[in-house]
Amino acid sequence: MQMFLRHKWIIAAGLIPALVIYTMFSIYPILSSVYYSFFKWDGFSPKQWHGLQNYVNLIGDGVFWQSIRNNLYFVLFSVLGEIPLGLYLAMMLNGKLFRRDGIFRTVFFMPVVISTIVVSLIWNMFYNYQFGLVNTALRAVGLDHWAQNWLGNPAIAIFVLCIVVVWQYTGLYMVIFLAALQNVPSEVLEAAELDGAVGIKRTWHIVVPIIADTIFASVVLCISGALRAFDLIFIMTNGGPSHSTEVGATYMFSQTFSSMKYGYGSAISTAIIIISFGLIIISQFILRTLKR
Amino acid sequence: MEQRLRPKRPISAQIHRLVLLLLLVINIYPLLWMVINSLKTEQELTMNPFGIARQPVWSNYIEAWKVAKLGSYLVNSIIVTLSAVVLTLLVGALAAFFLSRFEFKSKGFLLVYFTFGMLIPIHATLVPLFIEMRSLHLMDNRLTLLLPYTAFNLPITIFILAGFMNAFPKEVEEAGIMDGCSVMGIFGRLILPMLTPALATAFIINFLNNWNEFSFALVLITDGALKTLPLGLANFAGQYNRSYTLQMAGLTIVLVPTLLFYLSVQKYLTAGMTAGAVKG
Amino acid sequence: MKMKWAKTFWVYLLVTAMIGVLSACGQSDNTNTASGNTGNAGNTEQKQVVLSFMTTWSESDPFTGVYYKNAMAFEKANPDIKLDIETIPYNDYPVKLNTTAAGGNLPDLILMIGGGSMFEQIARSGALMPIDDMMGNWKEDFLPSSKIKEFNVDGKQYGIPGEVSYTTVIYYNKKILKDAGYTEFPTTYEAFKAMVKDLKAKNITPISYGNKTGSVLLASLLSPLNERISGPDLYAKIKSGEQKFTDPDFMNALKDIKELSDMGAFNVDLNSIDNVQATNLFLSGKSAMYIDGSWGAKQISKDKAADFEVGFAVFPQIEGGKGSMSTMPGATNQGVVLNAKLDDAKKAAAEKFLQFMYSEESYQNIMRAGNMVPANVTAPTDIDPLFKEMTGVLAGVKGITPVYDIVMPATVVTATKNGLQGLTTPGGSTPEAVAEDLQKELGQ
Repeated sequence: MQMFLRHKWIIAAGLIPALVIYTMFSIYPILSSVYYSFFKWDGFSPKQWHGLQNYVNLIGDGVFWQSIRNNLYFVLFSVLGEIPLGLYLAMMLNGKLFRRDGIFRTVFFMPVVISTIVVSLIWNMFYNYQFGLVNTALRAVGLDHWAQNWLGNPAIAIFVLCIVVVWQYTGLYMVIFLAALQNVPSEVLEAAELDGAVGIKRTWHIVVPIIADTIFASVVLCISGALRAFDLIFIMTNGGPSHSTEVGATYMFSQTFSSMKYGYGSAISTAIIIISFGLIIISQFILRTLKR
Repeated sequence: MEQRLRPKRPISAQIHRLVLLLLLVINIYPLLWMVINSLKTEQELTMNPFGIARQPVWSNYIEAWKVAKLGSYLVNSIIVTLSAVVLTLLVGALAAFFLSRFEFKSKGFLLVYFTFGMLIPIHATLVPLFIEMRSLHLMDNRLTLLLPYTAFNLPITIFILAGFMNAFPKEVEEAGIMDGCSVMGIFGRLILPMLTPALATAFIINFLNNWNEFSFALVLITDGALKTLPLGLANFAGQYNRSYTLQMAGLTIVLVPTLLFYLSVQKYLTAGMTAGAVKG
Repeated sequence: MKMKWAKTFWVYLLVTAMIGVLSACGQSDNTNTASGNTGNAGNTEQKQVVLSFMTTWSESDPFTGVYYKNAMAFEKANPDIKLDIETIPYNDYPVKLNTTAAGGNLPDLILMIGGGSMFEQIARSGALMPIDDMMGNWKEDFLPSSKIKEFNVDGKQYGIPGEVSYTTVIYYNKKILKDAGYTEFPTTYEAFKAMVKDLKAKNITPISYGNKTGSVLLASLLSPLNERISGPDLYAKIKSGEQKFTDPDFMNALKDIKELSDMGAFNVDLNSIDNVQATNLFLSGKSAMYIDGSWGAKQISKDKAADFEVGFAVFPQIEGGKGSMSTMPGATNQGVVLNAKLDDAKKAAAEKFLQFMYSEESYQNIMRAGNMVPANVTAPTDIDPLFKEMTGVLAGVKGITPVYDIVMPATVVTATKNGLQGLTTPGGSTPEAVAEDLQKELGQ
């Protein structure tokens, strides 16, 4: 490798296209937004310097913390639901048993392929109090008192949404892991399957270390996805009833575009970035400790 | 999941098969449900959302096609989506290659720098991006969506590709050097072919993100001739009215190209290095 | 290995080609738009004025289709003016409007769906052109100034509304009420509550609401209660500080809502379904009443079964209250406003457009589509019979009070929507907590 190190410009040339596009159209806009967070601004009138006041208000804002708590539920369900389930499916489909059944691979990825509008629409109908599939099924087996206003009950609505999220994204991680498993030499997999049959534990010990980096990346993906979650909640519950399913991004959206508190909305989004970054650092620390 | 090793036991295989079949149903039923309901009338949907349509209303599809302006939006979506995916993969694979296979001083910083991109709540960037695009005179043309789509998908693309490359053995480059390859030669001839499954993954994720992207398209495009599918699909809900059945018909139409695309790419997901070139 | 290399090569060729095509597209598009802006005048012999227009009006929408058709008729009648219409879906309109306004890039004509704080803030920022010098086109006896004041900010008129909507109409299922022993709809709130209780005891859901977005309870329950309890000027008093949200007047309205909710007056899922779904509940006989604005009649008329008999009622009188049944909360909608930066040619064209869109003929078309209008025009004979019946019931309403979400600042409106959802959710918030929250929000 040393011979390439002398050619630093090659490294630079390889990285610059990505850096330029990314900096101009992703980093620059969000830095502008961070800048707005120090102002009181409705979006139209002249901006007023507000110092750290938006952040002070944010810390005392119960709804904001409630939304972050909901985000954390999303993180938990994503990391502990989507990743293990996705890995299980990937290993199954990569293994001898189901390798040839292409139908599984196609169908398990379906929820990812369809847009969030479809997902929200479908699950909204499933959870509908009067006519929904869940309640109809419960009533059919005589569990009438279990029938619920699933999305309207503040105590459970957020978890009901979490289930949808897991349903929607497990396929994504399955695909990511499936691709990563191609890095594992087939002899290794075959050896594992031979003596452990389909015994997961054995395969797990052999396979997980090899695809550890992909798992790390997936956890980052999960956390960032869960903290930015927007569409599904926006369509299914609009953050309601009464903020009970509010998450950071929907709260930021309603503060910015409904309440027209542009500066405050920017402060919320800055806080989301900081919190997710903190979570990612913590998660990577935990994972690296586990790996050792 | 016991510790002891056992000989191959068909029972556990049966359990796995059962679990997978159950998941199969859970995954496919909602879609079937959508297709079935796209053929109902609005009242029938409310009254009987889980039955078969008494009399299929095929005209829903014609109506949906018109309302969502699918004709022209479909073409726009394909152009924007594919061009952004290709640009992202090209630029992203190159960046990931250097970030993964080389050691240099700013590497750690750059990895963190790219991580930030995955944390940005996109609605916060709408106004700044709008102002920026306007001052760059990039509003309302084919490049308008290409650049932000690429920028916002680069981080995840780089992470997937770099994470995948990290698992390649060092021998790859060593073999390349022995053969007298240049850096780009190693990238093009050795790394890229091994990268196929990860590229396919990134391709799919990019495609879906761009295909379904709504907010940037809403804000940055005003020319009706350049608008994309998600904007058309939002036409089913007005201030006081909303047509669920038409919406489902529209969504079903749009689902077809998406599924075809996935089916055509998915075989590359498992077409990896195990098949050939380098053995570790 | 060889095969793979060849494949990679082809992929790269494709990529390069695509980038080439793409940048070419971008360039040609740029030149196209550039020539489009300057060249249009030269192309046609007559000078054509192009007005860009951002709106939610869409041909296929049953509610705004009539406006779209009126606009098309305008283009046909004025070949020297071209409308460059951008239709934005209703739900996404605020984001688009906000962003374009914040980015200082508003089109020539902009639809304001209603009055209220977003419109007022844009107007006050100086981005819109007052049309006071054009108002001579409309006589006071045709378009009373009291009906267009929601499009007036600080004494300047910016637009003219296309329609008037009462935000609270009680639609009831005549058969269900008759079977329960009610042939007349109650006119006092006490009698109304007694009927609700009675229906509930008979295991019928009394009222269905579709309050998922939070705006329905605001406009179709809180607003009428406030009017019946306190008369028309409560909101002005609260804004000026003369009254507080925590004072008995407003508190009583919140308590009434809580009381109704606790007695099971509403469908259990009122906060998780939208108005279309709630209408369908009503039309399928799952609820005795449906409460929404006067716009709700359109879906009912379109979707009801032939033998479904719908009745209309005005929100009942509250004993001892300062309001009356001859007043209703209402809002004016669909006003087109002008960008402040229009040059004289465009301004003249825009004036023609407004004249056309808010003429007697256009208003009659709007009525034919099942809307009430702010102007005094003779009703066309071919209007929907159900709509006619409703306007007959509402004929006794003489005064309009402003709706909550038009008067209050946007932050308070958002907080109220959430507060009302909390009140109507089991284990949710108390009236006291909601009121205190609102007072705090108003103070900020």
